[in-house]
Amino acid sequence: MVGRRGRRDRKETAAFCAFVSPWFVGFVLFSALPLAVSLVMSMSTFDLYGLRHFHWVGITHYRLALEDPETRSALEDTAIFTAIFVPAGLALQIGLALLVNTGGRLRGFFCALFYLPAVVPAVVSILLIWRVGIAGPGGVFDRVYHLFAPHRNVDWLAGQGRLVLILYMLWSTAGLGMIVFLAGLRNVSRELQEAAVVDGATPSQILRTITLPLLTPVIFLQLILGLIAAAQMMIQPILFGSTFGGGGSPFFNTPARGANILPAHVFHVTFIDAWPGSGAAISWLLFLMILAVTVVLFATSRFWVFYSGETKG
Amino acid sequence: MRATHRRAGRSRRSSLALALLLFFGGVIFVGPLVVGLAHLTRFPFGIALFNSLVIAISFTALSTVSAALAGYAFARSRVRWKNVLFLFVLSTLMVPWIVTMIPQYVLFYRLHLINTPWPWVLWGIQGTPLQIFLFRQFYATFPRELEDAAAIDGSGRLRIFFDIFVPNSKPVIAIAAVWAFILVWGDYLTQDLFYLIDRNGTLLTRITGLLDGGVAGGGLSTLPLALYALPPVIFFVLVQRYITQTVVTSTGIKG
Repeated sequence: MVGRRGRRDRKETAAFCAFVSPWFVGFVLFSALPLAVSLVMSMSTFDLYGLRHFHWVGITHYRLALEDPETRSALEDTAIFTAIFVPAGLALQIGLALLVNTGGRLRGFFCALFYLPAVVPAVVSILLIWRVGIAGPGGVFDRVYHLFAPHRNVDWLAGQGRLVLILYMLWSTAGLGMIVFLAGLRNVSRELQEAAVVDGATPSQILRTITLPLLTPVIFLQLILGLIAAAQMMIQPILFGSTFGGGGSPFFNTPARGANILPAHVFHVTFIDAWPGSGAAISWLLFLMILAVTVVLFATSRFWVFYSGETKG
Repeated sequence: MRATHRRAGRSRRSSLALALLLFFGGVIFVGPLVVGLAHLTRFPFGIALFNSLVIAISFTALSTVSAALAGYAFARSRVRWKNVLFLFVLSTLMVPWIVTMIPQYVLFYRLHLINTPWPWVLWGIQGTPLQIFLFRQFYATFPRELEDAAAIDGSGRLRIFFDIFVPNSKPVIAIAAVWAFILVWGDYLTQDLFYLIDRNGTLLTRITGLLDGGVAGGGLSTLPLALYALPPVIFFVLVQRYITQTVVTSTGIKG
């Protein structure tokens, strides 16, 4: 009996290993190993385009990165961007989900409608839609602004780069978050809400005391994913960049002032300045910061994330 | 007896004829596709389009299969340390693209795989963490009795996966596949980095190369870029009802 169970366990483990092995091999080759290599890279200098002339420099890159005013301002931009984008994004996603949820038969249609921006590649939606039709001269922003201040002009892309970037990111990521929240809303018990209505609770009371607390696990998940996404987006600020300089490609733009978030800065340092060691050091700092924030969030989650399964036991 | 023999013979002959017919029919219908694809190389952007299709299709197909298998294992296996391993899956989400990209470039460079679709094939075999997460969440809701009944019948893990789980997970397969396609189709930076030296590149890198003077002037050079957004939009519209089914309107088994 014990032998048979042991054999079954072994078979189960073997099957598990077989199913997971494609991912695991990829994880070692394309995540773990490159992470280790980039740690070594961050402590050395070398020629990016020839991959030669390696010199070990220790933690110099890290020290220089923390002293460098440009990196510091990029760090500041990242912090401001994340602090605005993540909470605003969460509020927008929950709002859209609550709105669509009341849509009755048209729920599916609205769901698809709000998700559509996420489907268009960023290259297309920024270069063709946002740079020209929305934030460009005579675009949507200009028209709305002229309703209030007819004789003043704003260069949105260069002057308000941070605002444009935040609005674009809200627009392009809201749909996915909304779908996740819609799935979460399915698990919010109808009986509780109906009981509250019978007891005379107002809609805002129901939202505050029943719906939102029951949504906290989803809010937690989306908060973590949103932070990670905010700290990793790289191409968007570059595509919004204000000058078509360098080789003429929009991918070598410099991000507008206030919108130069860390990944875009790393991209610039690595590929345009061609200091891959320095770039690796800054991106390791970024990685460690994401890790630290995630760990802190996980540690504090038990104070505000409510799992309904716990009370049921 | 003789009648059945004759009937068997006739049916064998007719099935042979049918098979031949199908084969030639297939050649007639698929042949032009192959010839057409070969002809693609003569168009200005033909090879770029071909490269784009190869990386998009291979990455989408492979990553969906691999993630489905891994998600199934993470959801259903009775192995104690699987959750620890799953934390590693999720933690790869936190690694910034640029941290691993240059070492990977060096790796593929040493293997002579730059300017080939092979990196996408290998990444596809790995699957992506979000897809694995999606499949795991979906498969975790399946009732255990189904699986146990099949196990009593003597089916192994793989058999159970293909007989019970795959037929019941069409929506999530569609969502994962379209998600992977959108990911790889719009990912300019990786394509640019790994096809940098190739004169033909991928469709996306070639099309954006047309924009050298900027896009503010509009003009014909922006048209290909606008058209480039069509395939993901079309695929999204096709699977849109699956998303609404699984997420919005479905009242099926709850987690």
